[in-house]
Amino acid sequence: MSINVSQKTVLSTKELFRQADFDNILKCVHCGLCLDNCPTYRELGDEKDSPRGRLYLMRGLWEGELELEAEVIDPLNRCLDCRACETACPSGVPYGELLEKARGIILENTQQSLKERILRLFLLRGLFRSTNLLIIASWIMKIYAASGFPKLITNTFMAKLLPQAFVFQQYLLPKCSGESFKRKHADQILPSFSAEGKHGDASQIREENLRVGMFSGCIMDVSENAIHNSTLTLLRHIGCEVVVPSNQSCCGALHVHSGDRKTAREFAMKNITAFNNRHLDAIITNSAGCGAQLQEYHHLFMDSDDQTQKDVWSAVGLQNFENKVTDILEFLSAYMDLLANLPWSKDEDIVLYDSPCHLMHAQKVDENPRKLLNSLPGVKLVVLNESNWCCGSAGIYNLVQPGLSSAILNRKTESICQTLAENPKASTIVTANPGCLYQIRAGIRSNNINLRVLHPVVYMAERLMVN
Amino acid sequence: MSFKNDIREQFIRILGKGWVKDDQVTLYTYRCDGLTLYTAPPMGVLFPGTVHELVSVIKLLNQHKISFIARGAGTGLSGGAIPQDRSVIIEMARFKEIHEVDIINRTITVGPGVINLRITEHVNADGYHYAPDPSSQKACTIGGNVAENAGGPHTLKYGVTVNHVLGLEMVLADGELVTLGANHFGQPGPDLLGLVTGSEGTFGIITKITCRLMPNPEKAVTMLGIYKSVREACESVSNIIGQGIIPAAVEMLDKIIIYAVEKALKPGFPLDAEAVLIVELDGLSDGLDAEANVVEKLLKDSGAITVKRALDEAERAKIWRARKEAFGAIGQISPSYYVQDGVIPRSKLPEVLDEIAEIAKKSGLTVANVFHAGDGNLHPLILYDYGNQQEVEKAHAIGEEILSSCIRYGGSLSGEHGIGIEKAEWMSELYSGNSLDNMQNVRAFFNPENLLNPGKIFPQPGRCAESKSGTPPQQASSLDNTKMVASKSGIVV
Repeated sequence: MSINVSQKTVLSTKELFRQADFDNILKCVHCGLCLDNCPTYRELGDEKDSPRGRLYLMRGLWEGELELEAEVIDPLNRCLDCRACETACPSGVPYGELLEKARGIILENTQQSLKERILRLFLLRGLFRSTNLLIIASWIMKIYAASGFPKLITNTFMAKLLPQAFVFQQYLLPKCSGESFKRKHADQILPSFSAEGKHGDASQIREENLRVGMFSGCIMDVSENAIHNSTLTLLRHIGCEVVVPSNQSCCGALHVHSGDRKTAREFAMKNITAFNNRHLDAIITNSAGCGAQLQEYHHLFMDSDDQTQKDVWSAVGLQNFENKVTDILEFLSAYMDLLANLPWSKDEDIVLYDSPCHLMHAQKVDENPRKLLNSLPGVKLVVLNESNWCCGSAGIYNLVQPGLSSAILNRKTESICQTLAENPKASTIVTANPGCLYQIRAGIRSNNINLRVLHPVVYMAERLMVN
Repeated sequence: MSFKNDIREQFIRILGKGWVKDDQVTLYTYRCDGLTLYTAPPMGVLFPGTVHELVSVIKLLNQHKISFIARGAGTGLSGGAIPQDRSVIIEMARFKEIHEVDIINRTITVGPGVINLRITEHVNADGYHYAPDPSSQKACTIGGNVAENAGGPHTLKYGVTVNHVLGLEMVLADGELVTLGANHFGQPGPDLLGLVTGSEGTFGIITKITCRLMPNPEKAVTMLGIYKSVREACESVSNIIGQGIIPAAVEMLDKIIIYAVEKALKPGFPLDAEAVLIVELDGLSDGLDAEANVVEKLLKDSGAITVKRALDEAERAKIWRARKEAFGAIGQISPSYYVQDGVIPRSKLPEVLDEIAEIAKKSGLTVANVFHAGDGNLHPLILYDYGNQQEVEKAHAIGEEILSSCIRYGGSLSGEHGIGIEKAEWMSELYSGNSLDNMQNVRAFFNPENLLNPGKIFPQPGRCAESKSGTPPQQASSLDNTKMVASKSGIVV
């Protein structure tokens, strides 16, 4: 995305960065151990498209050696924000936090291209803000999918005539439901199944039930409803009471990744309020990207100049919200003893596991989900070759950087093919983030690979023999 | 200063538009490698993708007498990839093909841009590995390893890069493509391969490397000796080797490093220890435990308060990750570090470490130590704040004092990081003017006009420490060119 750079403020670049709590940039000692873990560096082989190079650019901005020019901003925009470099980094450089802050400064202080402004206005600040609009959009997409147009575009001569990026987007389309999950379950206390007496063995259920909140997201709230339904089912089966607050909103991850910290703070405030005073033991997410964002809301309030927001944050944010956010797989893995007592299918199956970047590198959750899935009777979990490697979805990266994104997806597809060749009986690949799910599914469909792509909870719920 | 327009056009014609970069931001990010104490931007950066493209750009550079320099991942610590005199950087990252694996003959042929660790990963399932394992192995390229003759912890038993390279293909400064060595040992004639390995990119640009593969040891025992003093840890090293035991690796970490790695990576090292010694034994299973018992006793006899053994592969991996990423972990406690690479006879470890502690104390800066104790290859890390000019100067001064102390104890300037620009002026402390002249004559044979990576390894004329005999390198390079060319044909295959 090219940027028409003209600085909007009287402050110097150095002053802008100095205001933004950016001292952690000093943790990078330029050792380079991150390089080979960076998808864009491996694709482009250019230092400035590596984590170390990008940190060096940010440090240059922070020190006033560089200015906010297109040549500096472009490599920062080409970053996927997959944060594989954080896992590789021995110095503990909080790369994602620094990049997101830098992008915030860039957005606030430079002129964006028309395409980007339109995308921002309609998508990030329009659609994602309004549940009604999301429901309408979901209906439209549902009708569009049912019309057969996507298949017409991908399966006929049209695929050759239309722009490749557009054709690929047909594969990416989520399965829209036309209804909102949070509105459907609005604020009820959904009891555990044992409390409803659905299956009898009360001894396996704790005496005092846990009460958890479910985060439903924006696109996920109106699409792929199997994921939320399965999450709900599993939680209720292990004896949780579940609440889905209806006034929750989008997590703001896409906004933060693209520098729009203001809208993200607005969402943070809404979510903190929505989940407050509901006596929750945990707030469950089933989207790795959302989960990471919710767990990192505190970054947003470090460089906020709105004192009221900061006060609300420090009063309730950390304790009552952020610290309670847990990924569904991580949460379930703590109750494997309870899960073991449920009636599972014993059919033999091989499942390939993909680690979403924001689960593994941002939330640092990796081992437990694999243990959990491996514990299912009859299931053999095979970790995908380069499972820790980004698929190129990265929020809306596949829309704004289609070229690089598809190169990175190709690598993922190759890894899938290799793993599949070694495990020809594998039926399914699981990935715990919706963006990755759409992207990998698109990669698999466009290459005619015979594999199902599911969220792990959907796979688990399928194997649960209760109705 | 970027490329002149006509030259840029010609590069673009060879490589394509996306692979020729000379904008200010690219030059900014390429102004240093793993050594950040010195910075100098290149004239431009070229990204050839094939040998043919590489040869073409080198011929063009040679024609215009523009100096140039190969760069891999830029993890080097002596400034080997920092351009002097605005040399053009040729980025070799795209040469990452694994050409051929020959398990029966235990060789692998790879492009220079292949990451060191990828080689081991590629053959691990067959039970083999590539032995030299520099700490940066998960990022550094094999081409850079050959150029610097890289080492690593396990070189104590297995040797350094030069012991594991069988053949090379490289492009000379005039664009001629030559092959050295073969895919087996025992090439007759002078060991040109040995000469090129460690020449720090001043002899040619490597395009293909045939490496030896080593069978994985049947078993490895990794021990952690915990000490109340650095001195006792150092003494243990000589005690083990004095008994005729050559461990696969013997590494020492002092208190500051223990603190940094615990903060960053949590390997479970005791924070109240003054030093830990990692000792790894490997080989056939039979007898290994008995040997480990002997080592354990030796460690305890020399003062180790406890000796732990890694119980499984995961624990072993944790210890090694902490050791190998210790430099990076310094970022937890200091904004910048400057690492030295001096080598000393291992029996002198206790004295030299005492001296380093003394130097640090006097200067007021912190010096941390994590090093290949078995080889006597020190890595004192001088911690400083790059924003504080006084500290920068002090860091330089401490580095020099440590080097001079290494030389005084009969040691050398570099064990594995190379001389680069960092220690070039120090070469005249170690070698006579005659020796330096002869070395430069050898370089002139491969690189007569000093176009390849100029300003490295040897003291620069006009700077304070000129080579002692006063023969400037230009004169050396003009020596007896015809004879050189005559013998050069001998290495062309």
